[in-house]
Amino acid sequence: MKNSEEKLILWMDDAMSPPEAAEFEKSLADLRAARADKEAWQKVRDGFKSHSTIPPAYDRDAEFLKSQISRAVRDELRVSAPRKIRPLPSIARLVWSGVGLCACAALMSVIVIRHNDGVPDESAFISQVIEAHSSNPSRYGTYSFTSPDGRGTVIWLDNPGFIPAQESIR
Amino acid sequence: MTTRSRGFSALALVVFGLLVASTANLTAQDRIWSALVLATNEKPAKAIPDSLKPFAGQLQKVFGYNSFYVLGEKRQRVKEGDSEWILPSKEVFLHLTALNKEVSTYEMSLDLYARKKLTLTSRVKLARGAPLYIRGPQWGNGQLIYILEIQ
Repeated sequence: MKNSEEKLILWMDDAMSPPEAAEFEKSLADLRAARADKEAWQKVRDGFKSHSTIPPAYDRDAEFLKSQISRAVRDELRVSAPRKIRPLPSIARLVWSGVGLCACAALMSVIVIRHNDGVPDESAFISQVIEAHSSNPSRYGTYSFTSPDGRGTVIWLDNPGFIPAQESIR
Repeated sequence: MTTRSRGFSALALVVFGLLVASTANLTAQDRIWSALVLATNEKPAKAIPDSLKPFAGQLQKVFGYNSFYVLGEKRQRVKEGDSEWILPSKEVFLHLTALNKEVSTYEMSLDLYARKKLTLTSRVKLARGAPLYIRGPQWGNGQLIYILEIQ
């Protein structure tokens, strides 16, 4: 059995069936004032509903449950899915991989060697006298030069000997 | 054969080609040009022989002569271990031995004989395009000069 306050709340929330609402309205002393209060209350209630940013509690629960179920399904699928096993590389593939690596190493060697060959070195441009010995009484000097005419090296014998012009050298 | 294998084989061929080309470059047969020259001072100066034109400026500045005669010249391959008599004549001999080939030079030993007497023995490194001049004995009123160049 509901008391009068409970009936009033149900009536104001339109939670009564029409026969119950009609019977309750008959018991009211001032029906017009009560309907005005009901209308005002419904405006306030509608205002709360429209301005509230917090989703209803049952919506959050439903979303949480939904996310938990989907996660469980994903985990189940992940566990039950057959693992993709990569086959071992074949001998031919290993051989060709080795050939490729050797080719890369050879290419790098060629590049490095050619790069080193390009490094300017004095001996690459000028002839050099490493050592020289001269018989007495001859003396000698050696020197290298660079001029607009080019590069050159000279072994200069101070007293290289004399051959009379009468003697043929050919 | 898979596409990857074809790619590897093509790469290997390219690299081996480069290696072969590089090796060919290193083993190219260089030649040594040698000449026995008589240098004199004459008025008027004689025309420079064609084979000496690349060396004329250096010869004039270094030795101080204005006329040059080629008494003999020779151009031959350089082989390690080979021993050659360069332009042997009755009075002067130059004996040349190729000792070693390096990246850009040839190491050689040379012996110069004048009137059958060993006048000079030397070990030199000849670079390509950088001639070696040897001031030899005097002959008459001129000077004998050896020129060696790797070409």
